[in-house]
Amino acid sequence: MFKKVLIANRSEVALRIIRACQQLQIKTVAVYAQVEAQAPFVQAADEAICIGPDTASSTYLKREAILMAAIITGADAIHPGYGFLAEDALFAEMCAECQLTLIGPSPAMIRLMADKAAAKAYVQQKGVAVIPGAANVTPAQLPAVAAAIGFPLMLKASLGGGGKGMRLIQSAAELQQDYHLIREEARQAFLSDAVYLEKYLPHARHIEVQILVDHAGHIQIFGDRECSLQVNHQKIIEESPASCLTDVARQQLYQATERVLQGLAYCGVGTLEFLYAQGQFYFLEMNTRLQVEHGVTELTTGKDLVVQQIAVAAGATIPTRQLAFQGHAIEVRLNANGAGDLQQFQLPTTVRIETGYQAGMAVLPYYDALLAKLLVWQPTREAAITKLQQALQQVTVRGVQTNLKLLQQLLADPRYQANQVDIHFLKDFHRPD
Amino acid sequence: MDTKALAEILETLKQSGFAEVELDYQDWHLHVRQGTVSAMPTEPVAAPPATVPQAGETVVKSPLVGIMHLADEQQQPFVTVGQTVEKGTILGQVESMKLFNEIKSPVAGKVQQILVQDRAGVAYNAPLFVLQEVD
Repeated sequence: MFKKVLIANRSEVALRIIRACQQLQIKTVAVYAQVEAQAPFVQAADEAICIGPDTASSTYLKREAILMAAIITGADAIHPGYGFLAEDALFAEMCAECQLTLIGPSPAMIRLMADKAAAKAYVQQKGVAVIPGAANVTPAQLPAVAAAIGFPLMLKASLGGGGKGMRLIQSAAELQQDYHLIREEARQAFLSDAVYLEKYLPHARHIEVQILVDHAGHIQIFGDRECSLQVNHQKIIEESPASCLTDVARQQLYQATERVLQGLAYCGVGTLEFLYAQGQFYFLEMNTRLQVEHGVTELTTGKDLVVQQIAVAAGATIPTRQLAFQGHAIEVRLNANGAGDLQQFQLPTTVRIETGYQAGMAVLPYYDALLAKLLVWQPTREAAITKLQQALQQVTVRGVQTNLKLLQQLLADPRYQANQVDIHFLKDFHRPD
Repeated sequence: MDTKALAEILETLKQSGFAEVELDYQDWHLHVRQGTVSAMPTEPVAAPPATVPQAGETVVKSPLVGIMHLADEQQQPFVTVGQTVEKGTILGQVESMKLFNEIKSPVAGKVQQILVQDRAGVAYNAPLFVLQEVD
């Protein structure tokens, strides 16, 4: 087992990883931006190294600084959490060069799945359906290729993610207009102007499968999640299991997952994301890291995914199987709508909370908007919704605008309660002020 | 013992090849060790000492995370306490991923304190040197 793990991340996920390390009796090193010196995750780690001033690029994205922090503290492994360098193949290579274990898959696997077009070509080869589309289209081929796929369609940056670098296109004229725009956006945001076209599925649900694979290739399936409720392609409500699936559909989903993973030299946790429309699963992408919403899976399977992730990275083996899951878990992401000072920040004590914030702290403009995740588990989806509604009533945030009202309205919406949602649901949803 | 005599003793010791010498002379006790112990620091990175700059003092901080080098490849210290430096004099180097980043004096003055050990790990913004400015 590792002796000391450096956490190349911040806030609630850093705290989550510290908790897992403590359970495994592993020492922890936090790295932090100078402006976050007082943050709970910095205080919770056994050691903490300031790696830069403030912005993400001067701190949590700074590969050399993080590696040097690991070297000078004598850490033997790095946990990247999610976001930042979690899916950065170059960082994974640099870790290996420094004889540090990155808790995640190999650089080659990260690279394959980070390139969304390459990942799709790969899974197609394995006989798994992807949304009809085309990559590497030249401006001259554009009209014919788009007509073959049919409108509406999505124009996406090949290396995009996190809701960035994608646009819904309704017509040939719109495509001509947006093609160069999105290539420029992609070049600036992802350092590559590669884009691809994809058929748009109007009533699709976002369904994903949580997996863990050990060094010997044993695959464990930790059930599924539904994350259809998204604002600008950012998930805000996540559930485990995806209760719209029948047993037959679920087995089809797991078979597709196993087909993708068979023969792939993958090791670590991962999530295969699919769109589910008209009874058909279409592979979207695979995230080669821990996911923000991993907690709902932990609640339904009773397993600590982060502990298992670290153990597998250290060489532990696991049996191949589908884990049983029980009841229903829901997570909501309480997000800040902007920076500010948390004059008041009260969260319920009756549900699982993951947060990196406390009253009196500032929400800084440099990082993501996540203030807290609230997670509930109940025997049924209905009971889980009720419990979460009660929990949200006990949330008080002052000094920072949040999406609390939106979350409350969503949970109260009859269509949500009847589980009649899709990935476009929030676009038409009346937004509270 | 004046500083000139001390410098002579140190130079003599350096030529001698002894790794460690202890010397009692009049009211002086001198303990000198030379050579490197290990390539990587094994001690935990110390929390930076609190430094409140006094009037005319400049605290030079590390611009990056890395390993502090107070001596050059020939094991010659870049600067010693009490030494007068110009603006731009190299005070030390911080190594990051095998690249050596020179830490240059931002002012003309005298080296009052060296706050870190040679080959210690330093965090971003860790105080390294205290300089007394001269007019």
